[in-house]
Parts: sequence; structure tokens; C-alpha cells
Amino acid sequence: MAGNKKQRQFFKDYSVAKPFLEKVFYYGSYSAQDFAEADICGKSKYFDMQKTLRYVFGSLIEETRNAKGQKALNLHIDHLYDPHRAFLRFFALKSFTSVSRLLRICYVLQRINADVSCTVKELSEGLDIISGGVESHSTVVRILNDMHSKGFLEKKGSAYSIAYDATKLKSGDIQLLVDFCTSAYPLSVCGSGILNKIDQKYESPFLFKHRHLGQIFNDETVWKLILCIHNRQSINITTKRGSFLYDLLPYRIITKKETGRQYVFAVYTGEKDYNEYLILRLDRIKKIDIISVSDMSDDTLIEKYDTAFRYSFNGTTIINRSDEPAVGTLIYDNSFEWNIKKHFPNCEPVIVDDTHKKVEIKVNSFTELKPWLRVNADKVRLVESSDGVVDELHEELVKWRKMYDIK
Amino acid sequence: MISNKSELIDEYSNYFFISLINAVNSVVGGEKLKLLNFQNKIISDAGDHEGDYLGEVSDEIKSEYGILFETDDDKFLASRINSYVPMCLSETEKIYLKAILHSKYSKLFLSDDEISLLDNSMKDIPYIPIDEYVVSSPSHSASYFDKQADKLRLLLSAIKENREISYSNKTRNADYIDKCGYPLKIEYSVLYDVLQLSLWSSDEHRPVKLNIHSMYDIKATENIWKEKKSPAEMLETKRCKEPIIAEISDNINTLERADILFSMYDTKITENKGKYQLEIKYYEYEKDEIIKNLISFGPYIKILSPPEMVDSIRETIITLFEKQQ
Repeated sequence: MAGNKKQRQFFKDYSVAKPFLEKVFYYGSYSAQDFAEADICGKSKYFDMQKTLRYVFGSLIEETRNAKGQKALNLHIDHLYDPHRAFLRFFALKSFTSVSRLLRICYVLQRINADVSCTVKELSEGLDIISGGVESHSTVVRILNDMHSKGFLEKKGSAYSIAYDATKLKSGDIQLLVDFCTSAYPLSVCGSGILNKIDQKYESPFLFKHRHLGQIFNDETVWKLILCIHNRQSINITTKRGSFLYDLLPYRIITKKETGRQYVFAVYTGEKDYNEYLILRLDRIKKIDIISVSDMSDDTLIEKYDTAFRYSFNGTTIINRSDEPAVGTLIYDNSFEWNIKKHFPNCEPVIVDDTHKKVEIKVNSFTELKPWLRVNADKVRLVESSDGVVDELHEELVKWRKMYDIK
Repeated sequence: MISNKSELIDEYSNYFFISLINAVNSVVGGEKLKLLNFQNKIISDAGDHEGDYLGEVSDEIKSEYGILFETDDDKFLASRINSYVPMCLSETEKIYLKAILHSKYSKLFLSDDEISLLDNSMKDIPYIPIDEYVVSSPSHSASYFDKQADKLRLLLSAIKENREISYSNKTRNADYIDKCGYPLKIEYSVLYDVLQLSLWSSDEHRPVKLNIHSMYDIKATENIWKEKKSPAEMLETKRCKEPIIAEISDNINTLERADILFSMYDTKITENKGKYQLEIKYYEYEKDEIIKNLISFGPYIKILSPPEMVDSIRETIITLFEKQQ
């Protein structure tokens, strides 16, 4: 019993559990010593955590030797087996509560369901008779208040009723939609939670391919920001590096599809002479504090957003209102025109020869184009740019050749 | 205004709790369970097959199960209340459900009537357009997905029945007519916002990936999969034995980018003398995509093995250099 309690206690220390799992997930080579050196947890907690991760991830977790010969936990991700539910199991353990309380919650829900609605008095008297207890009234009040505040129960006068029963969603098609959205829609862990409630043994016809599974660690931040965006609330942000950003009104969360990185675009609402807007990587955020409700209009926010990204190639680089975009020229194979038109629909191509065309483009930064240029380098090349990226790319190519001993 | 206290995941999403509710409902539904079977059912459904983690929690059930059950003369459990325990959704889950119901994906699976019925049942739930706040591009319109609903239903049905389909497929470079294969899984490509199909080709005896929007004349055939291994298990046989090993330059930004970019694969990163080594295990059919992703890093990631992949990268660089001159 003691070990079990210790484990539950450990999970409440979420500030330790989450970075622990992140390291296991991304690296798979962290030993107990490495966790201690990284200031994540001591050696004794490592073993508690190991036991917990074994429960959460089952055979996906393996302990192997790392390069230093030390034992290290490694999480195997295989997209034929959806790991979302395992992650859900982890996130939901955050608030592991006592069995005694859970049984009482079951009683309360079952009774309300049977009677359609119930009062505190009816529920606590019923519970008193069964348990012979004297604390049922306060227990029931706590349960009802908590479940009401989280949206599980509705309250009319002094009577409580069930707000929404997920079992009525147990039709194949809605399950398919929820399942599909765990891959295609933001907040995948939430979809997994609903799916698990509808049918714990559901088997997916989808190939798990959440391209950027690591985004799952951002989900809680994404949810907090979504609420602030919706409520039009200004926030202060504390970054993991210890800096503070004040008076920001979050407007959009941006996902860079090529890399999976997520950013928040926010507008400065304070009175100091700071930048008008900024974008910040979500994995850099440590804490969000809500400060006030902003009266900034939709039109103003849209105008600022459009201004910031006015020449952005993939929607993740901003420029200030007064900045000029970078200008450059691309030469490309005719067979690649579909891609050029997709990215630069308003540019006019000029024929270079029978097989090539060129196009003048404006972008927020050519650095944004680098991965795209590398991947498509057999079809397109940047021949000039106002921000020096042409030279950078050439130097990189030389370095690349050298790296593979190409003469 | 929606309360900022609304959590993404709360204690009521706990696997143990869901398993407990399901087990109670089994008894209410008439399943004959003794206390020990009841305990084991919960622990097993909660995913703790060895009872290693939740074993002691199970003991707590033993001491307090009387809140919900009486036992008959044969020690079988009987629910005190003749009613199911409802599976409640949190405020966050309801908001999410409503949001996906209004998303461009809903008509892939639900009819207008079904959407309207569900939407009515949630009329008191606030609507948050999550996919408007979380921007991602490129993004196809709702009508693009609506057009694929019929094809998707046919494919899902074929997957369920292990049934072969005949199809044609038009790509940018060619038109493949009257092909046959067994659909394995539906896949969503976040990069292109498209639906794809993994299929075991009857003609080529290998897995093939197709964009569903480019498939046409899809028909179910009379043939049902007869191999011992299921189509999905056949996919598993295509796992490469030798992982890709790559060295990441001493640049934390590159490392973090690689972290998330390859997070869908079975990866491991080790640090040795200030250099990071990335190991990627993969399936044969993922190879091209992984190479493309590695190339996108340029000289900041060096592939060390397998040798044939190093050779392939070398060839690519030589070609690129010639092209870029």
C-alpha cells in the first residue's frame, strides 16, 4: 500500500513526471544518473517512474544500455499501434484519486442516473445507509461540486442531473470521427479520452500516423491558449529560459506542418515601446498567467496578423510593420510549376529556356525556404536573394559534400 | 466566457476509473461476476495486465465494494441500484466534440441528419472553433473532404471485411487502371491535409500507399483475404532490420527540430562526447519519406548507416551540386 501511495504522490508532482517522459520519449538514452544530473529527479524517483511508465506504456517501454553502458528507458513508437491511448493513460494519471472516492462517485452517478436527478440530501442519506458512515454529506457535496464545476453534472435548484452521457455516442460513425480526429485535429489527447469513454476496446481502422507525436506534450498549453484566444484574454508568459513576456493577447496557434513545431502569435497590448506582435514556440513556454480581458477588435487583430505574415512562406516567420520583405529569384524546372504556383500564386513566371522558368519572389525570410529548397533542389534553386541566403546555401552545399567526402 | 479552470484531462479520464465504471455496468447488465473476477476485470481493462501497478488499488476495492454491490448466496455481485453508471464527459470533452462536429472532417463519417441531431443534443455547449484558432497550412476546404466520404465508407467497409477492391488511380505522372489490392488502413497526412490508403497490392505483393482523392472506379471484389497473416500483419513484416543512424551537428536547434520531426518513428538519441546520434527504426515503405526529411536538414545531419542509404544520399548531393552549378 505504501509503495502505491508513493507512486500516486509522485504523479501529482507533474512538473517532474512530464519532463521525465519527454526525455524518455525523445532520447531513450537517459539513465538514472542523467536524470539526476539534468535536475529532473533523483535516483529513487527514477525507479518509481520506471514502474509507472511500464504500466502506462506496457511492452513499448524497454530498458537498455546507453552509450555509457548505463541502463536507460526507451519508448518504442510504432505507428501500427496507436500510442495515443497510452499517452492518455499517462496524462490522466496526473490526478489519480483514491478508490474509496471513485466508488462513491460511481454511486452518485448511478443514483442520479436511476432517479434522473437527485439532491445532496437524497444522495448522502443513501450513502449513509450503505456505508454506515457519518461523513457522507460533506463527501457528497465535494463530489457534486467538483463534477458540476467540470461539466459532468447539471444543477437545477438543489437537484443534480447528468449533463451528457457518452454511452449514447456508441455508434460506429461518431467513434470513427473522434478516432480520425486524434490524428487530424488539434488536441489529440482529448479525442483519445472521449474514445476511451465511448468504447475502451475500440479497434481503429486508421493507421496511426500522427506525424508529430511530440506535439502531444504541448496539448495542455494549446488548450490554455485556445481558451485565452476565445475569451480574448491578455496574458503574461514565463519562458523556460526564465524570461518574462508581458501584456500579450494570443490570437493564433500556428503549426508548421513540415517540422511539427508549434508557435503562438500574440499581439502586444501594453503601453511600453515593445514590438507590436511576436511569435513564440510553445515548447518554450513554462507558465501562462491571465491578466485581463482585452477590447481589441477582430479587425485590428486580423490586420496585425496579416501584416506580420504578409510574405511568409510557411506561416511561421513574421516581419515588423516597417520591415521590407526579402526579395529573390527562383529558377525551376517546368515540371515543378505546380509547386511554384501553389506557394507563389501571384508571381509571374518568365521563360528562361525550353525547360526552365524563373520567378521573382518576396518572402519574410529566405531562411524559411531552406528545407523546401534542399528537398526540391533537383527542381528549383535560389539564384539571388537580398538577405544573403544564396551564399549560405552554397556554403552549406560545399560543407555537405565535404561531410560525405565527395571530391 | 469559458472558465480557464477547464482542464484538458482530468481525474475522470483516468483509465482505472473508466474501467471501474465499465465493470460496474457489466454487473448491472447481468454479467455474473464474483468479487475477484470484478477486481481482475478492472485491473486488466485498465491495462495493467500483470497487476504490477494497480494490484494494491485492487485491495482497496475489496474493502469498499459494498458501496455499490451486495452479494448473493453464491457470492456473485448484485448492484444495489438497478441503473447503469453514465459515462460523463467533461466540459472540455464536450467542447472538443462540438468542435469536431463542426469541423470539415465530420461529413466524412456522418450524414447531415446525424450531425444536426448530435449538435442539437449539445446546444448548451459553447462552440469554440479550435481549428480556426490552431492554424495549419496547407489546408483543404470542407467540400474537398465531403467529396471523399463515399469512397472512404467503401474502403472502411472493405477493411472491416478483409475484402479486396479493384480501383484506378491517377497520379501527376501516370494513370493506373484496374488495379487490385486489399485495403489495410486509412491514413491522414498532416503534411498535405489529405487522406491516404495503405493497401496490400494483389498484383505486386507489397504495400502501396495511395491518395484517396486520386483513386476512382473503386469497387469491392468477391475476394476475401485468405493468407494466415492478416493484411495489417503483412505490413509488419516490412519492418527494416537495420536502423538508420545519423549524426546531428552540435546545434541544439537542429536537435530539437529532429526531435519533433521524427517523433512518429521509433527513435533513440544518444549523446557521446558532445555529439548526438539519432537512430531511426522504420518500415520499408517509410524509407523515401525519412530520406526526404533527413535531406531537409542539409549538412546539419549526417547519415552514418546503413551503407546503401549513405550511398543514396551521396548520389543525391552529387546530383544537386551539378544542378546548382
